[in-house]
Amino acid sequence: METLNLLGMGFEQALTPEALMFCLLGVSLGTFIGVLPGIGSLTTIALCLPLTFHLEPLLGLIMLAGIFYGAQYGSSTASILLNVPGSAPAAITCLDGYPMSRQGRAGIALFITTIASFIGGSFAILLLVFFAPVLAGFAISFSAADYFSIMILALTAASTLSVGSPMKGLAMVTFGLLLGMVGTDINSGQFRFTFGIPALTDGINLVALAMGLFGVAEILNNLNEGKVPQAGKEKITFKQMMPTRDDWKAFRYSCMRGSVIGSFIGMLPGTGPTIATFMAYAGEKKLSSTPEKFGQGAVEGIAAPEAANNASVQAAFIPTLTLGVPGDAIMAVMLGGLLVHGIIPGPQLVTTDAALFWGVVASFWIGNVLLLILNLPMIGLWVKLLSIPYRFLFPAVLFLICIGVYSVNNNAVDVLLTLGFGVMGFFLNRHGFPSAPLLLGFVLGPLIEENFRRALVLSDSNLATFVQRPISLVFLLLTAILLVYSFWRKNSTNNLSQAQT
Amino acid sequence: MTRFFKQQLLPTLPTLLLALTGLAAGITAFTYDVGSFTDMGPGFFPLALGIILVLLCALILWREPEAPETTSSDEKGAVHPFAWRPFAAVSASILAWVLLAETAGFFAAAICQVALSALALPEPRWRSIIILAVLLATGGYLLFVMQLGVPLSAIG
Repeated sequence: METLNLLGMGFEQALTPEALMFCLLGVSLGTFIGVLPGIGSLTTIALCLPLTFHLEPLLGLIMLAGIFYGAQYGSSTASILLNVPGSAPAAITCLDGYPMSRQGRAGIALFITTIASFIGGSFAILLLVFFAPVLAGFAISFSAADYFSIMILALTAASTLSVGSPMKGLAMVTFGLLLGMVGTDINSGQFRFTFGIPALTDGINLVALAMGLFGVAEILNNLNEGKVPQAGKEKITFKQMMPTRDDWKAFRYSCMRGSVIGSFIGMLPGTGPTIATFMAYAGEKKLSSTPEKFGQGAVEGIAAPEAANNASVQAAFIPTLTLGVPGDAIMAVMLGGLLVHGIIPGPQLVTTDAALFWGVVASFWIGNVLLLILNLPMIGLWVKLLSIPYRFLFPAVLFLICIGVYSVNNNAVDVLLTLGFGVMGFFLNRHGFPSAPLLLGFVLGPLIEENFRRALVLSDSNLATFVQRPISLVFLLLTAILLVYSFWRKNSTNNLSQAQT
Repeated sequence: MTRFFKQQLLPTLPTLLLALTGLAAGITAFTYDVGSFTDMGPGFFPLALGIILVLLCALILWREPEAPETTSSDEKGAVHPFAWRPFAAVSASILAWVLLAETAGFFAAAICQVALSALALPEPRWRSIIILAVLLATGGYLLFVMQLGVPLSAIG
């Protein structure tokens, strides 16, 4: 009952005209960049981060979160119509979405992915409402050692469970942790790795790093590949969108399974939506009595991953807000944004900042309903967006990156750093080194060091404290299992080619 | 020599550079107070991380020596050969902003930046690019300078 009262209070916060406006702004912007291939939601969130510094924390978070889940709605559009994912998690939707579009069923595919997104998102929000306070209550007893261990687990999971070489992921996480050390050590006041550059004494600017690694590197990669695909003159009308009875039948259970898988994966620290969609797809295929239909336009093949995608995105707020441990790079940027506002996510957030927590949760509901409206009757508008040529898009994004990074500290050195990180990210990505673990390591670096130090102080410098506390021990054991597994396996089985077979 | 460079050295270069970064970080950390487990100094964590990074890079070179070039964005795992033109254009574009924003003013910086970025295209269409540049500069000025108070002057 108390939960419902708190949720009611949250709705009061989220239904003010201002909050509604920022929610609408966030989800529209999210859908916009989600639809367009070549601009990721991380770039957009990092771009908007400096804008939110002028806002109340609640309004800022509502908008940033709206971009994140709005982008998941939009990203399936390009997958279905162009066979190009609008963002990484939507890659799997290409497998059956594009064949549906070739069969003249694009409208139905768009309808199904939108409904699946809505159901997946709603399911995870329900979980967030009832489970997050419980988890927060449990986490209130976490000690510094426990936090250290869960962060180590999150970083290990994020770098070993993603697509590609787990060892390269781990190397990038370590590099990110090192970058997180740059700046003034809070305990001794010692400048570390600042090389006499004043702009570095407060540490590397998160926005500069994120924009470089994702924004600039993305543009370099797209331009290097030559052409970003463009839509033909597709016209989708509301009439073409109605699924048949058979479609509904296929949709029902796969959507529910996708929601459950997505919510579960999203809650785990260190696992993002990409893993959730791959697992949902693989699961559907295994359960299906007609697995040969997958890849030929099976409704299950788009319903489950899209539900999982949105469920994982909403569920990812559970560990981020209640433990302060982000699940993926995007949540890490959002965590960074909260820290700038002086809000430290953790178990206390749910009680001490109850208005903020419940306001954000309530805004998720509102945002998802807005997205349903934006994506069903207005789908034609978003499809038209696909015809914006990339030759106009990338100069505009580059311009926004420059002015956006500059505006954080009014400092041109930050923009130069962005270029440096962009070039670095571009080359490292080309050689199979992923950027997301680096960003996660960067955000968690100072927190990990602080908790490690605090744990040792609390235990009179006894290293055994990390294995003597049962919670910490469990996290460390899980980390060890992950490490052994990924070293033994050498290359991830979670890649696309394996999901297809 | 060039063949050796292209086939052997180039693919491992990123790993080697990362290892070198770890090594440099570890050595630099020694110039800070490292301390001990009982009393961690500011150099302790960076030193540990530097060592781990070097070890991981060694592991990569040992276990995945061929280091095939793969991009995460390409579903087929194919890597497009490196093209100088877009790379140089994007770099020049950002550099122009860095150099001009505080010296030549917002509009000059923005227009140069957008125009230079268009050089990334094989056949830039200058008329539309200039229109885009002026539109972006005006909109950016209204939002960031007038509205958000970024201290940049319009001209010089």
